[in-house]
Amino acid sequence: MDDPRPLFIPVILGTARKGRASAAVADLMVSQIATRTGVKTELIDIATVPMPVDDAGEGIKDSRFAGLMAAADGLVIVTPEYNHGYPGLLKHVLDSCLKEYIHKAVGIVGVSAGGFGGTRVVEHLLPVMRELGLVTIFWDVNVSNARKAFDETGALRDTALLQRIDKFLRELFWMSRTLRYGREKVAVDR
Amino acid sequence: MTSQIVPMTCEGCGEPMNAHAEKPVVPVSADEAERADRGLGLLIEEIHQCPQCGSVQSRRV
Repeated sequence: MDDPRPLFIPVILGTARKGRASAAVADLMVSQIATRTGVKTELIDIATVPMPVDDAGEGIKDSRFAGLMAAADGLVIVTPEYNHGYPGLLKHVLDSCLKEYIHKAVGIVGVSAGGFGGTRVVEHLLPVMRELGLVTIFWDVNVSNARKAFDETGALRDTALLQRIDKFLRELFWMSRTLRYGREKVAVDR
Repeated sequence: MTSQIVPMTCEGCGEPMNAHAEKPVVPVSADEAERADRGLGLLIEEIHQCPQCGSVQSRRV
């Protein structure tokens, strides 16, 4: 699998709420991916994806978002936990594509104001990922007490998180490379 | 591994694509409902990726 093409791993910021603490986490993930050789990334803020609310699903597909998903080899989804679940707007945006996701790797970053690091929202997203055709890695990143995890400049206070992000990204890149090979070279049997 | 699926041709570069997935989907038109599997009430959406440019295309059969 000596593929010279860089992986493309965009980071989806999965909330449009004003004052969202997840924005600093998404920026951190982008900056960490950007330091890796052979990988490109881009922040996708769902607040900037034009999504009507008088319809849903692939009927409201946004061409720019769909193009980014088609080009992606893997995804990082940064999601806060709202009332023990995922933001409705994140699901609305994700549901607008299908073929663009299939057999691509995804890693989930859970964010919470409390001490559980978004573990519940990560668990709730797993069956959604599966139905979209995405392949989940088994490392997660969990950011607890999100308001305190970063200082007022957006710098990370708890640098222990970086080690976990490193493990998460290494698995995500491995899975993304492996699945790209499979998507392009290994045919499904019928 | 070989596939009996007829490869799609990449709209971008003209290369034969690789069919790597079959996804059961709900029919969204009367024509699709007519073609759906009688027992399951579903169609299959084949997902193809171009090994040359990475483009993704699909076909509902």
